[in-house]
Amino acid sequence: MPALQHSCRVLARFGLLLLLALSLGGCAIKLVADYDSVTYEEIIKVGKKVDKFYGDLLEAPAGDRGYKKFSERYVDVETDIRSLVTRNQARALNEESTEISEITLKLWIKYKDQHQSRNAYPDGIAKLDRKRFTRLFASAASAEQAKKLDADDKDPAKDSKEAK
Amino acid sequence: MAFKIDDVLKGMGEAAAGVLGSELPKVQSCAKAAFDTERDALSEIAQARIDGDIDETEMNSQLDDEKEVLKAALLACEVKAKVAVQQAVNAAIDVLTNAIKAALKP
Repeated sequence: MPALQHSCRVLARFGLLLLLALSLGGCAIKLVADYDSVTYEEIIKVGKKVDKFYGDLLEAPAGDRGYKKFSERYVDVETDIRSLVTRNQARALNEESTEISEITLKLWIKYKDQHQSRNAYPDGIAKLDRKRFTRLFASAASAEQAKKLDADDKDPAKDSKEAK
Repeated sequence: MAFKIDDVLKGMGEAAAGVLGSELPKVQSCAKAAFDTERDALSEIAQARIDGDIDETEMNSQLDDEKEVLKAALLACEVKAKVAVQQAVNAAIDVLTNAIKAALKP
């Protein structure tokens, strides 16, 4: 028991010293990347593009949904999502947003390949997939928005829009 | 001004608790919303299978994808949790910094 108490005391002192060192150094703990308004706007823009893709696809008669008709738009959106992944990967302390964008890219490619192999996109599947992407982009936007701190805490230089 | 460690530690604890008290409910509601939305999505998949809109293979594929979407939703909550901890620790450090500055004043 005395050994445990001693260990606790040592840990408490170490913690205090660590905080003291941080305080004297004027440091603040940082666990997440700074908010980036350009990334946020990009998430909204690409999300809207994906939603428009599914809107147009569902408007087309089921027999007129061959892959070729949509292939160019698949490539266009894939490029946009890849750009989001790269943008997220380039920022430190940004693992969660990176993973969300990687999941989005993985599913986009999966649905593109399925469309190509079946050369059709039935209503039932398209409606479910459309909603899934809406939720994925909402998660990405929510994660980015959460990094928006109070004016006192944020670093405008890290926001690519404000840093211009 | 004297540096009273007990008072400083108490102030640090209060500052951190104040931040966590206001931020943690946001994390909880984020996780709850993620599971509520997931429940609705799973119901829609089940209904689509019952209605014959999708076959067994497609249903299994859709269920696999749902795991990824739930993961993404919870990752967004994780960011909120990290932000809460970051703000709480920094609030505590601010209290300590101010106490040290006050103690160093002639």
